[in-house]
This record gives sequence, structure tokens and C-alpha cells, in this order.
Amino acid sequence: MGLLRIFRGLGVLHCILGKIFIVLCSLSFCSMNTHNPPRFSMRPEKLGHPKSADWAKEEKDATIKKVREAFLAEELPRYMGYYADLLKEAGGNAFLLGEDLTIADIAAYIGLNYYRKGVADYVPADCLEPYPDVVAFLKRVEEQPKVAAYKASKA
Amino acid sequence: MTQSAHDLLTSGDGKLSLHYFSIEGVAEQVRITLSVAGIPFDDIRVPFSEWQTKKPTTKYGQLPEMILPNGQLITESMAMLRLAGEADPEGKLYPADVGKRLQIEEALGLTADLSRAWRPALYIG
Repeated sequence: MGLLRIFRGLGVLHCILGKIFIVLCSLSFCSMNTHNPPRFSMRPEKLGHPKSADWAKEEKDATIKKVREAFLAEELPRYMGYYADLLKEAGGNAFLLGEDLTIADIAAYIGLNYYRKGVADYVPADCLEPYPDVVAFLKRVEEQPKVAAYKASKA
Repeated sequence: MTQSAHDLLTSGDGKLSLHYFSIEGVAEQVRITLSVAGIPFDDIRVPFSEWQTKKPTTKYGQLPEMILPNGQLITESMAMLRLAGEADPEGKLYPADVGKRLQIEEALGLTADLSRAWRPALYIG
């Protein structure tokens, strides 16, 4: 009986921890892909680092610099290559899948244009410049008349 | 009787509304797609200062949320993106052709993969 009670207690604790985790996750999701993410989304402890408040500033900055520069050096070029290949297959002077703009282009535009905003430390606004095919694609999306009209209406 | 995406987004007593933060986050692609498809909507921007009180009133504790003209609540930005694309009167944004749609799904997945690859570096600080 004693053992059963302990198990039940653990179950309740697990449930509470699970709920806290879900709340934290949803907080972070609301700020995904944003150009001005609110501070509450930054939880280095969830990524195996000290809590923000406990993390010495110099060491924290050095770590942020390291992981973001690694992203720029490794992941970003790999993905830019994939997009360049898609564009080439589509004819080189069109959208990702051909002559017509699709939701894939609009999603890619939002996802890629983020890196040109210069909002994350160590990710400079010119970080896509080495990928002219991709930059030209973003320009084509922006210049599509209905996209341009939307952007002008929100400017 | 089947209902078209265009009907769903335009028919009813109310007006379509999209509720999200004033950022170019996951709902920005929905705003652009609706605009390109020519579907009128109320672009409701929720201030971050109101979020903590609004959050418990949302279905899944997150935004965006969309209210259809018939009053139905829609969640999940990718569901909204496909619905808005499907409603394009010219049928180009999300074509009915399965082969074309498969290519679109792959490209959407690629963009999601890139976003996922960046996330640890973003959330570290």
C-alpha cells in the first residue's frame, strides 16, 4: 500500500510537471520566427545551459555567438543550397515550383526574410548576400503585385 | 454537399478575422496568402501586454486564431495557410493537382526544417 501511494504521488507530480512544460512550450511557440521575440521565450536552461539569470554574461554571450555562428557556417548554407536547387529546377527565373506563386513561396519568403532583418545578435542583416539566387527569389516574391500591395498597406 | 474554401472564408453573417501578434511570425504567411487570394479579413493585432490575460481564453493557449464568417474558430497557422491558398479564385496558390500539391508540401516541409534548425540558436539567448 505504501509503495502504491508513492507511485500515485509520483504520478501527480509528473502530471503537474507535464503541465508546466506544456505552458512553457506554448509560450515559446507564440514567439517563433518573430523579428522581435519577447524575452520570456529565451530559456537557455531548456537547452542544457544555466538559467539566464545564473549564467555569467561573458560566458553566455560567447556561447550564443558560437552557436549562431555555427548555424551561419553550417546549417544556413546547406539550406540555401536546397532552395537554390529548387529554383534552378523551376527554371531559375521563377518561384520555387514554377511560374506561379504558391503558398510554398509565401512560407519560404517569411522563413528566409527573417534572416535579413538583423534582429538576432551575430546574425547580420546581410547574411543572405552570399546566396544571390535566394535573394533574387525573395525580391520576386516581394515584387509580386498583390504581395507588394499587402506590404505597402501595412508599412 | 461539399463546401469550397472560398465559401468557408467568405460566407456567413460575420467577417473573417485573424488574431495574432503584430509581428511577422507564423501568421504573416496567412495574412499575405489571404491578401493575394483577395479574401477580405479583419487583421486583429494582439498587443503582447494583453497576452497573459488572453492566453487562457484561446483554444490551445496560443495564437494565431481565426474566426470564420460563420463563427467557427480555426487554430494552427499551417491549416489556415492551406485553407487560404485553397480559396484562391485562380487556383494557383495551392493547386488541386496532387502532383503539384506534393511539391508544395515538400517545400513547406523544407521551410519548417530550416526554422527548426535555427530554433536552438534563437532560444539560447
